[in-house]
Amino acid sequence: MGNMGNILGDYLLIILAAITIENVVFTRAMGLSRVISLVDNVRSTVIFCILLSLTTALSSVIYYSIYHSYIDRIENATIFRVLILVLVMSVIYLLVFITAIKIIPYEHIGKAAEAMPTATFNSMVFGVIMLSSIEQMTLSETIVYSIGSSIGYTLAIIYVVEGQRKLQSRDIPAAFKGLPVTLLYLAGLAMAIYSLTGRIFTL
Amino acid sequence: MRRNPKSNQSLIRSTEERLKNDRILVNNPVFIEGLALTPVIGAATTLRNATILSIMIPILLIPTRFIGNILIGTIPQKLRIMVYSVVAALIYIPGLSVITNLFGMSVAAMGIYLPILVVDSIITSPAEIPQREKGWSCLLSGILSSVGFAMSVFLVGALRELLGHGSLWGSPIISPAPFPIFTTAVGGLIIAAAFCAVFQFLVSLIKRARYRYAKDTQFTEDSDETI
Repeated sequence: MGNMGNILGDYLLIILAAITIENVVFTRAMGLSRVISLVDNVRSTVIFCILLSLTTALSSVIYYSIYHSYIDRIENATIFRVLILVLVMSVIYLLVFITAIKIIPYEHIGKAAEAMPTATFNSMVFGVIMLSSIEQMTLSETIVYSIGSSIGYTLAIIYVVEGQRKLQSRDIPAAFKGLPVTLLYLAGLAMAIYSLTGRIFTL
Repeated sequence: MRRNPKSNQSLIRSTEERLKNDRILVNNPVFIEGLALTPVIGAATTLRNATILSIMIPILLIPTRFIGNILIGTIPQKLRIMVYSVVAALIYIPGLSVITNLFGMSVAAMGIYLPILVVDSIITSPAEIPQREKGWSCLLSGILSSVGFAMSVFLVGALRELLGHGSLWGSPIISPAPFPIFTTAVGGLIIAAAFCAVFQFLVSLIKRARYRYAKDTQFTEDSDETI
């Protein structure tokens, strides 16, 4: 029972770290272009993020299985791991996309279906799976880390979507409107996240 | 002197066309379109890293864009991004060998930011173009986007290395490093935001100048007709 509690505690820590101090957007700038350009309201953001979490978790499981069953055993095969990961993501994309359009009515999935290709072939999905592979996480850790990172990514998108209201203020100089002010806003959030780690910036 | 209205119109049209196709300043892929922000902010912390990125991008982008363009019309829109990523991942294998031969162990310091390029928005966004481009125009777009990316990543990389590490291409210039924050993602976001603002300002100046030129040309044309 105590051992089970420790394992659950470890998983909770991985999830919390992936959402906050190891947030892929604020600490590694992964999927940043999509965070800025992809979504325009909270509802479609949530659908997009559910699909994104699903593709991340499924891709990481399949990639982990293939990597540890085949690639790991072949000499000099690591050069192919990028190709294998992209192929895994392609298969998952087809599976999730076909399933989603079969089971969810189009009026609900419309916008998310449009975003589906970019939700799968996203540097965040790719980066999270690569990181878990490089850091030699176990299968369960990989799944937990994927879910935590997806939640962290979702939060980053929601922050940007919500922040857009204030970022459209007339007080912002014309040259800073749009992308520059959004990046500065993200920099402020990233700095807040960094402060949680106890780091001190020398300015 | 009477100007030929037809030549005026074609002049304006050619200027507009030139601005539309300008991937270096007016439609800069990084600072104006917000593409490839992950490698620029995450990896371009030194001039050397910026050079690695700016060599890898054309290796991946130009052939992927060209092959993807040929396939437009033969594969459904929803599958295009997948095909672009697979093609980029295939090209990545010889591309990595080229980069490793050129830069040796420095490539390892790039971590996941080099492989991540195969799914980056700068590689996959041409998949959203609805119609097939002409072969030459597609190649030119790929080359110009690569030049625009290289310029952006060099600017960011050089400034971050100078301010964050106090050096340029590894040679110490300022000691101690004045602002170590610029080596982090936070610093990358701040520097990218500053460059985006500068580019937006320059683009608005160019567009205003073009508008004024078009208005002046129209005015000359009208005055000539009145005379």
